[in-house]
Amino acid sequence: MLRDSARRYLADDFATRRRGDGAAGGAGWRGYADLGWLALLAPEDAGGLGGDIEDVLILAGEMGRALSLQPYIASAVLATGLVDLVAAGQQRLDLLGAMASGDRRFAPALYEPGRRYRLEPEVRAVTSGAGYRLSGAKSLIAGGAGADGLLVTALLGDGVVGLFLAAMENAAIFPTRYATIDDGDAADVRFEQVELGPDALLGITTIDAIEDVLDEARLALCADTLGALERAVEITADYLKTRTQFGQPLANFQALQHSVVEMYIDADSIRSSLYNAIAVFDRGAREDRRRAVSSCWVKTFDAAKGIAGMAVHLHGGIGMTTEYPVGHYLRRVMVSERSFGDVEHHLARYMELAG
Amino acid sequence: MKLAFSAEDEAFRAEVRSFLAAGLPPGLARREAAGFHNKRDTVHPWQQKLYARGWAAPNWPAEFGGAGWSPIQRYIFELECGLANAPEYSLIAMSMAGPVLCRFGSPELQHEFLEPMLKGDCWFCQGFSEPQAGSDLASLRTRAVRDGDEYVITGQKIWTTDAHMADYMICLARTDAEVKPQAGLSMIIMPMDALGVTVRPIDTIDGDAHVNEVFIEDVRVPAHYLIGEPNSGWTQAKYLLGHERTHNAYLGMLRRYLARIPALIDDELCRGLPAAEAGEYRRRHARLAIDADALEWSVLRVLAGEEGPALGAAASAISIRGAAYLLRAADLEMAILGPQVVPRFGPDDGAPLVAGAPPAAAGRTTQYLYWWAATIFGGSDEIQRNIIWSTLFR
Repeated sequence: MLRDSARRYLADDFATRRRGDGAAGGAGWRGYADLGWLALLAPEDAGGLGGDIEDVLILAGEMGRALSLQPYIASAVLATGLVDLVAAGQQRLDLLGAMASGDRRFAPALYEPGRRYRLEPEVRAVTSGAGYRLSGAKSLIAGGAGADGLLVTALLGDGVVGLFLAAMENAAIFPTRYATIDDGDAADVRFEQVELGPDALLGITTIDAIEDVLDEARLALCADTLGALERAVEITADYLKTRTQFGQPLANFQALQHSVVEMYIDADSIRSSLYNAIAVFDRGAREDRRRAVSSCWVKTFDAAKGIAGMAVHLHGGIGMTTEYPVGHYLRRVMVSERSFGDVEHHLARYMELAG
Repeated sequence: MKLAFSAEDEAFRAEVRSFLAAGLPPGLARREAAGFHNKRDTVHPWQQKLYARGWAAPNWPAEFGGAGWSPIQRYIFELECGLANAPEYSLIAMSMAGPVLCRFGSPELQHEFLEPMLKGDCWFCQGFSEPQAGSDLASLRTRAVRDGDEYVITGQKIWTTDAHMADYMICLARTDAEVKPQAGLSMIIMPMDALGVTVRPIDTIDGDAHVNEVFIEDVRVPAHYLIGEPNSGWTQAKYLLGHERTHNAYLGMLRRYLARIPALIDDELCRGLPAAEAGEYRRRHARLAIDADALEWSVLRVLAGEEGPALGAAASAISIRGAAYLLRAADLEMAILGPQVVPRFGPDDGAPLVAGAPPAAAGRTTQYLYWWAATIFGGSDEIQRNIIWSTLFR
């Protein structure tokens, strides 16, 4: 079963991180490729497995549980979806094939400084010779630091949105590479009259279509968060059974038992919300899908910091240390909850769609 | 996990919906919507209609006159009844005494009681809690002593829902004082008109009358009224409390609130509710709707049997959140209505004691206050948390 094999494979991730390895890309990414995880969502005509979203959610859950540092949701789920959506012909097959095999990793660059979660780009692309010239800036590109290329949304004039592939080694891209608070990697980039060839434009698309692809990534991020939170609850319950104070295990104290139970109920409610979204995803119209995804997002991230923070709290001092895993769950959800929109953003979207 | 309502389920939903639209008396629905407990005589005609349709007992096996529905169908029925403001009726007989008799009762008892229960001619109350036995139910003291062909019951019950209008009590009593507390209990049917039974209503803060004290002094009942084997009462009680595992989600009730709150906000905007406050209430409503969607799936997971050994934990979680969400919904309605909910309303017909009060204000405080009871009965939230801890983490 996918869940069991993924759990076994990812079991050492935190130890690997403690040794300073396990950064995004590199051998870790190659390992994911060898297991077929990168090919999961790629369509079969492009050498992918054409798997369904539920398999992706299972994997994402295990990665959250294992505190994986690989940018799976950005560079596999979202990037694959965007290329599949926008690119055409041989270019589409080539890119999807290279991504599925792990030969090339791309990071979606959708968001821009000072524009929160708005997807309408202000980065502009104008024709230049046979190709294009890009100017503007993108921010918080997950997995962007070590990516081979960026998938950049840009305005082609008259409200037409194009998706461009820009190689990171392009001399006119000025990347700022940095670590996020959960030890992930990210980048901001400035495009100063970046000259791109004619094939850099993968195709034109719409914000609605991008939202649809993003919604898969959003669900995956909810699943990642659920996996992380369920593990945090387990670790906490186990810790209370082993830690002795006042001559007995902390697990004997009802106040602490009930705190763990509340964490469990909140996490399990996220699981129910995710199932609701999956059911709608399979059969629902676009509006219903969006509503269900935003519902799941609000449910997940309304509770996430509370659960992970209480996990830290119940550990006492050891919970605050970086050498112990539990605090890393809190850091992870703090990044996740503002990755593809935040709770307020999704509550507003939910209410809009509810009419 | 793939689990959604099938085409057959949707057809069933439509069937239930049209039956409710045609058959539910409007006056009854109005009183139910306001949140007042219906009286036996006011709900009796409704139960008769359901009986005629074969739907009086959604959760009994078909062989005993139950509807014979799947768990999903039962859930849909509950949901639609909630949305249509259909009242519960003869609750203890239908959801507690009936299922216990179906499962553990002798053919003789089944013959005597089940059919009258279905018709609404035989109401039950549940004699479990006692002054010294609340959460610690196994410590109850009411005794039943065998004397020839009879049992003689002596003791006191409290918080007895519907005792003032019930024909019988399913009484949990101690039949063996020598064994450990749980092992010496039996469930016995006790006629409420028997000599030695005294019912005293308890005034509750919600202003409605629904619970009672019951004093039991040397009450003689036929020995065959003891359900199943002597001293198997604890097993039966556990079965009973777990029988409607998902009923405590109160999703029908919650959906009822969610469906009417947007219109309530719109109405109050015309009655002086500031727009900024209305926006905040809409956000609270949206969050509650999101929570309801998740709770619904928690219920569906239980109904689908996904939980396996953790079933008890899931049911307890549903019970805790179900009560909390109802309180939030009721509190939200009070917030939207603002000062208009302060005057007390007549409990019998929901008539306002203040001229000009909106009809929607009737029963709002009553219902909010009553939902605090949902955090207590059937095992308090803390007992439920104990169950979850010991099931999953100990």
